[in-house]
Amino acid sequence: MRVLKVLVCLFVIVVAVNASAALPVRTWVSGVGDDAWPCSLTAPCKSFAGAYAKTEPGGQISVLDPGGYGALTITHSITIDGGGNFGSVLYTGDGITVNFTANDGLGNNVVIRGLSVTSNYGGGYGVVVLGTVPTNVHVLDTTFVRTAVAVGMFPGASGSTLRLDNIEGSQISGTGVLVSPPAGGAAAKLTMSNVRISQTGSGAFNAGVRIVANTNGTISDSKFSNGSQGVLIESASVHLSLVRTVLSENSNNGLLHYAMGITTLLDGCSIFGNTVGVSNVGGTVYGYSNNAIGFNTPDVIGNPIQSLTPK
Amino acid sequence: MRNRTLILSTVLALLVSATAFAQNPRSWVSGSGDDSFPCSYTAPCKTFAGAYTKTATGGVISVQDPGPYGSVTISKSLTIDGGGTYASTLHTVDGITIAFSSTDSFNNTVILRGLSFDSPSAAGYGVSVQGTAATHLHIEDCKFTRAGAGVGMFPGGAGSTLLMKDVDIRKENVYGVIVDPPAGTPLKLTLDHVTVNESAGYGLLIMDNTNGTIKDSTFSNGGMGVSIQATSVHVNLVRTVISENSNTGLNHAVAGITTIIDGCSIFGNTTGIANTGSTVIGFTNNSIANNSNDVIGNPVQSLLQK
Repeated sequence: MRVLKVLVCLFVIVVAVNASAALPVRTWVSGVGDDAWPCSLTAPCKSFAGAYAKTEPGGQISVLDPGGYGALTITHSITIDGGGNFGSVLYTGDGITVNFTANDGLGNNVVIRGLSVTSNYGGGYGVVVLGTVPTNVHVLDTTFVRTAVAVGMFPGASGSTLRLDNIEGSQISGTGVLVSPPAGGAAAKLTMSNVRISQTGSGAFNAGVRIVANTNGTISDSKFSNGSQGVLIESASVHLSLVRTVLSENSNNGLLHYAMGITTLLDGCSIFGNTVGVSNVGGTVYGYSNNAIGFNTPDVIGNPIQSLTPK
Repeated sequence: MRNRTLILSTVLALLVSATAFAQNPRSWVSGSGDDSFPCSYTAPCKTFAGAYTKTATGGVISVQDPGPYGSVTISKSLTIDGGGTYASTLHTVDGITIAFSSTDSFNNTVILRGLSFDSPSAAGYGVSVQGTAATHLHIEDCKFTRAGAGVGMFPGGAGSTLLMKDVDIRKENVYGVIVDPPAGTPLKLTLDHVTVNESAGYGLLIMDNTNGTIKDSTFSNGGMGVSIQATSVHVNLVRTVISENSNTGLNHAVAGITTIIDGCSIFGNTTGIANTGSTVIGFTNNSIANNSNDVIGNPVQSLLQK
């Protein structure tokens, strides 16, 4: 009997080891797939959640054809690649939740590319980052429509990274990109390029980009228009550079320093048609005599822009 | 034996000519295809070169899945389109018509992505928004060629949206893009990386009641580049090129319009900016030159950059 138990244990261990070793690094989803299948190219799965469970950490889920692949919670490194086929996520709670509670040995890296993320009730987060360990999230070539927040970054650990490139967000009922890392420790790193957010919510804390604390960031070639605040910064622990970025037609401020002592750089930016262009009470805004700030009422509140000479 | 060879040759010749007649207006390639297949959707070919020989002049080779498709030598007109399986619409009247008469649970949001619009009759709208309810239309990564107009935005409901990014419009008979919303909440217009070339009437015509930002776009070689017809239109043009238009680059059709230009290039038009009784605000960073008249009417108000 004892021997049998040992044998059974061994068998279970062998099966478990085999099962984990058998997870493919690349899986596929398709509109004609089935989550009971192995998520291979020839026998693809039906949903991101189904494929995620069958993908090795650090692996990739590819989208075979356009389709709706549902919401997902992520707790290990993964790439979801809609490629040219634009997989779509239509969700009722939050779209994709990234929630690492342990380091996975692969850098805690999540790449989300080529998706169309839509809330079917006009709320929730398109992508939300939670968790208790440093997390690195890249979102590329993705469109968000009708979410409350397109991308929310709330990592529980300092030193996390958010990279956004070629993102379109429209009809967002709250905020486009909301970054709120822990106040202490290494700053969160934020890099955004070619991000366009329009028509965010009308509340005072709704913005194209809202950064709450402890972040070093660069935003280039982007546009935040037709919302409440263009860019909202709430703490002197945020240091942001805005390069060739348009803040226009916002009903409150183009750029709002919502605390004293914040420093922000503007390089080649266009800020017009907002109620207030730059609100800079007790803060510092550096320009390089190359920013177009006009047709706001008024253009600047608080300290004037310090114009440096281009070299 | 000789007879048999001849018959075989004849059969082969017939087969070859039958193949030539049966060239596809659209062929497909796939990693799982074979160049001995007909390059149809269900029996795709394996290489661009294999599909090329079976595709009619002016046709399209579409890619079914990512893969290597080899080199090809091209000596006839055709399109090889690997982009996101780019579906195409050939339209003789209008391509896609959007007409909402009430508001649905997704707030009347339509996204058109990776589409190619061509009109064999060179008529109609590629995309036309009609209807009576507010409509939110996104057009991403699309191409429009040779119709009456690329995009016509005529929503019956106020507060509509037109968002276009990475869109290429060529050889339209009248309009590249026309926007004509009703009174009430303004239409929100966002154009980013939109190129309109050779639109005979107007690159972009905005009739009424619109707030917009147009960034990194081009309106060239047409009749008018950008024309604004009412004081209820407020548009910002950022890093946008308006060039080589046979009429006016930026046209204010009535007095009292205000438009901002920031880092724009307005060259080679008959008139650069027509601004009688209206306001154009610049930031000493626009290149306006080599038009027969650079500016007619009020001069550009140059603000200092900060």
